[in-house]
Amino acid sequence: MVLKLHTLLKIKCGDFMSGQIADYKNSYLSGNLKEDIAFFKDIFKRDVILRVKEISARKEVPFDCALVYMDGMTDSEQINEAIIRPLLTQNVNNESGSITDYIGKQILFARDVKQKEIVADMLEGILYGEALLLIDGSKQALMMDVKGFRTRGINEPQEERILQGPREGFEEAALLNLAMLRRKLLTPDFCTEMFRVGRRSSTAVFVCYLGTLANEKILEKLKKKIQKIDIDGILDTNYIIELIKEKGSPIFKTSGLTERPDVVAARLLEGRIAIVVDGTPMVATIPYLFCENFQSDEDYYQNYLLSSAERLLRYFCFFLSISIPAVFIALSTFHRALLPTPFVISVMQLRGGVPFTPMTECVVMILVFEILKEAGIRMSQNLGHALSIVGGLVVGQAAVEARIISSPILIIVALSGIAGLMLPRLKSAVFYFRIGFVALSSVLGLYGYFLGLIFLLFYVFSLNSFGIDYTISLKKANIQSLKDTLFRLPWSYMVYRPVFNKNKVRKGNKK
Amino acid sequence: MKKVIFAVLFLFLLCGCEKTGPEYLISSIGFDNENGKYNVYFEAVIINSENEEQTLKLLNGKGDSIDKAVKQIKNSCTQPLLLSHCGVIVIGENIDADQFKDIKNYCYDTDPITLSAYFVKAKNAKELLSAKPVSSSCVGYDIMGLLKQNNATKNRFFEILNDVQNVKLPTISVKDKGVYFDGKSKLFQ
Amino acid sequence: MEKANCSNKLFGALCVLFVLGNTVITAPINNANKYNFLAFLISFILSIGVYFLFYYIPFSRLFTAVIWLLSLFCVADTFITFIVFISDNLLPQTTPILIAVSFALLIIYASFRGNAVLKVSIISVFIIAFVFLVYFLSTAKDFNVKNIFIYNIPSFAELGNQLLPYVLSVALPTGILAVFARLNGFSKKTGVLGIGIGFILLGICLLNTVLLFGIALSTRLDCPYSSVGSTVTFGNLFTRLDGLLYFVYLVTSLVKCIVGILVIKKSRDIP
Repeated sequence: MVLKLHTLLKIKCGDFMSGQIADYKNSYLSGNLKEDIAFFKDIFKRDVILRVKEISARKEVPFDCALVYMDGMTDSEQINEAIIRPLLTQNVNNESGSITDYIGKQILFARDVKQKEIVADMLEGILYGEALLLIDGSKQALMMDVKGFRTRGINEPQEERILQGPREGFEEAALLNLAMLRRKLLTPDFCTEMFRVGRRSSTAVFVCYLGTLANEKILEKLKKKIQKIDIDGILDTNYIIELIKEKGSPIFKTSGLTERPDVVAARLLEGRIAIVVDGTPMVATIPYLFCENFQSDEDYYQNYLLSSAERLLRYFCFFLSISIPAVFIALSTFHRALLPTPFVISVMQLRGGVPFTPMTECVVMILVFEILKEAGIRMSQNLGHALSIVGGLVVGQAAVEARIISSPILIIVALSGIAGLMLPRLKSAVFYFRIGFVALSSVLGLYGYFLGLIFLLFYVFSLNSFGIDYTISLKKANIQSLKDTLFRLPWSYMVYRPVFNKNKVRKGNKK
Repeated sequence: MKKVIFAVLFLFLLCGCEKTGPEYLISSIGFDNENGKYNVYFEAVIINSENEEQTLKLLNGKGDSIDKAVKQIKNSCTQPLLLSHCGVIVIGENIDADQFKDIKNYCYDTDPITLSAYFVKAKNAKELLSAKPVSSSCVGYDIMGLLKQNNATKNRFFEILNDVQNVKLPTISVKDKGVYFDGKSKLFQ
Repeated sequence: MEKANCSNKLFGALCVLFVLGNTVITAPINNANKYNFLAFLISFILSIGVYFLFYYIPFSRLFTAVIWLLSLFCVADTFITFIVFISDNLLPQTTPILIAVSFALLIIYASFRGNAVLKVSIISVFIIAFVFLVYFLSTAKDFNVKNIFIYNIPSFAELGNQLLPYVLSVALPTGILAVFARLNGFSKKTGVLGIGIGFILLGICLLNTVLLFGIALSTRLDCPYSSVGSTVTFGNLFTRLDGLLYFVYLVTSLVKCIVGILVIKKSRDIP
């Protein structure tokens, strides 16, 4: 009667629950095994993956218990060998004292056995691949780490390929990602703090940093922001980034995203903080500076001269990509006097017969280029060849021959587009500024372009990433801060870490 | 409301249409004196010509003043004249000192004419500018090439305006299918 | 005085651009004669004097009013000079109202990002110095040294006539720089250094113009240095490099206007 009432009450209450783990933070076990099993079955009444294995051990001290776990999230072999077999075969000699304690410390072969009292903690563990052992007569249960969910395996990240250097990439399991980081930073200074974020997803979010290097103000700020996040679910690092962003920039990124453990380790060594989110291979690092958009992972694995040349090329490509269509429109429409005469004659002849203004041609071609680019990403590989032929022949050659667009504009837009592809981290900025500059220069010529350029400079220089200047530091505008920006000096010259560190000296011998 | 904004933005794109047709790029200007009146010649490079064989044209205007002569040229021509690439100003030998002053003032007041345009002398500006170009698209650029070859670059517009003493204008002449610099032949057909 | 939150080097760069301001567009001015360069050198000394004067005068209502007036005059003068230049030379067929409104919007936007002005200044100084050097070296072959020779000493009236435009456009406005330094805690030495470098650059620009065009032609031209740029060529590919100067003019005029506005904003807090 009491059991039925208790169960009915639980079921009734269950119907009005919001479906979050937090609903059970004040719930405890009754101590009666049957009631507790019914309780857990009721919570997961619409989930067929939940398994409950009742065990009756009949040795010197008989006891009943039940194993609750999620099928597919746990390793069956471990459950059989580390939990069920010892329970059924080992003698329980505990006549006094807590049976839960005795079983946890002396019977089970499982690693990491914890005692839990609050139902919310137990649910967290079950949902994350742990097994729960309910013991009749005990209000405490045992949680064992028997995680066995399948992962994708360590592969090279598709978007961050390099020719020289490590090829491993993060994957969806956060603990594996942390292990990869640990392998690179064999120091007790490597700190990890865990947060559960998301009312219904309860996603594990890990904040990693090197204790003696990370800026404490940024760390405290970050932790407070993560704790304040109130959202249904977190499925990717980008959710966290957008929710913790300050009055940030929608155009430029103020936190870095990467799939490479070597990159994260390097950033941690510079005093940055990493955010690892379970369920996604993307790891965020903060603070993130403007110059990092132009850094490639390979810069540090090859000769510094080559790296410096490539980096300067990237800066040049950024400038080229956003400027060249606008400058061409300004010069060919408003300021033909500034162009060399043979060039003017050639351009004017090629533009002859095209009924559209250079601005219209440019905007249409930029949009076509973006469409081709997006289609190339989304479509299957089999169609890729067909698309490149369509894009090249139809858009390029046929449109020029039909005098719908002129070949100078086609060349300019293609060059601008390809230069923009050199900088995957700046693709949104490049697109917006390219269009914006084209619009300005088509109305106000070269003056409009320069207005846009000055606006861009002011915009970038006024940004900050978690309180750190996004570009030049106001307080420390010196040569030291340039050693890893426009170019990369050899390691022997990079004695100091970035200015926001609390421990700035990177290495012993100063040159 | 959003649809209205998109429609207006789309209309802006459609407004991006312009007239097509030939354009006249003026490469050199010549001045001759005929009975006290100005004869002004514009050597025009025709771009996107309707007649593919004709890429050069000599535009001519006469008047008591330079402005009247230029106005006559502009009236005779439906296309806009692009003066910003004018590289050579040819002064006929019968232009006197007062007329030369007027020419300088006209070139100064006409904004598109650059300060680095070259001033040269010729027996007859019309004869020189009517010649067939040898190595470039027009006679004006041939003359500029000739001047650079001979390092005769101290006769630019700003030096003329500065009244620099002893600025001797080089003489360019045409004979026997060649363009001559101060009597020395440099460019042949 | 509170210590600056920013590096003094950035303030020095700001001073360089402030000195260039709108003077780099119009110098030498319309009624200049052969004594113009002497007047320019004297205006440098006057600028330093005004800078120190404004640095040490204690704040009072009268002084604040003077600062306000000077800043407003400086902003208005620079704004109008720049708009007239763009309207006459770059965009003759565009309505000046559009040019003025766009420039004003940029000034307002930039004045809300005071710290960014300092960073833009330090980058711009290097670009400007490079442009001036390129112009000087590439036009050197056409210099006429006789253009700068002075054979007799000018009278006070003549000298004063040449000095007045520099006093109004460069020397007096350096007082605003001194107030800016005081309000933000910048070092006065860096200010002096910045003013000195600004005058050196302006001097290079003046020298270049006069050596190439002579004083008579320079005074006839609306924007002499821009015309110098139009004569710069590198082979057949790069002709008429005056486009680079438009960026220089925009930055120097913008910085001068912003400093004036920032001084007005901050001086409201002076008791």
